[in-house]
Amino acid sequence: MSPRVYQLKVPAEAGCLKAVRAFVASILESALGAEGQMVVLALDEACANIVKHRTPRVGCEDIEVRVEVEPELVRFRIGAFCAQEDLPRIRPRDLAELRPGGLGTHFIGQIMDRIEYEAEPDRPGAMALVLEKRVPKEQRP
Amino acid sequence: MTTRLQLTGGTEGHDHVVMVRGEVDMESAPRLLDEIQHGLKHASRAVVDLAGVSYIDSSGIAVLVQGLKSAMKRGKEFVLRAPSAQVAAVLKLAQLQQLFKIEPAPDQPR
Repeated sequence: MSPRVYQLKVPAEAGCLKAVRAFVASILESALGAEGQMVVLALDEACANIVKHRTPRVGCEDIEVRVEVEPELVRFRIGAFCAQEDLPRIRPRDLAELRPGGLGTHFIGQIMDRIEYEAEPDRPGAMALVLEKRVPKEQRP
Repeated sequence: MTTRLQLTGGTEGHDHVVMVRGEVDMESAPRLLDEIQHGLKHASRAVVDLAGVSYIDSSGIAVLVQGLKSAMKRGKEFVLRAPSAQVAAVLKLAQLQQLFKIEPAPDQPR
């Protein structure tokens, strides 16, 4: 059975994050139930990182989200998430430090079941972020 | 619940209370920080009422941490009041729920 696929492309601006959340929430409400709300947070944090940190090197000015819903898995692909050389700098911060910022990567790691980066075939040096979340048994068809 | 951030600042006794409604995200969080800083200038205790918050992200949590740090620097008290379920879940995820003084809504028993 092929997955249901949803795609959204919006400018990489803080004001567009609401639209990303609404788009993802509408899909996840039926796919993940109550867990969907936290997955929306993880996606929002990933897209906010694009707005904050993405460099022109990746050759993209938009947020591109692709969602694939399968009976047991939801897979997200965020296009041109970062440049390959940015990868070593992406890590959760030490939560013992009392300072603002750096929490988003921690949230993504806590909420999602799998996090991977894959090379963008049409954008040399750019990496897509791939996130996966297993569908809880009680939500499966 | 509304999505647009609505902030209302006011005095309750010696407290400056910021009522927060809607979504606190990367775009709107700086407005919340301004209101908290304003409150800390004018009262010995700043209370941030989060009962009406439908969504908060790491930018919003960062603002609450900044508010706490500013209050500590000034020798003032910083309190979160009645966080909504989503705020409580995100504070827990950040492992920060023990860091803040959290009070129930005024009409709820402490």
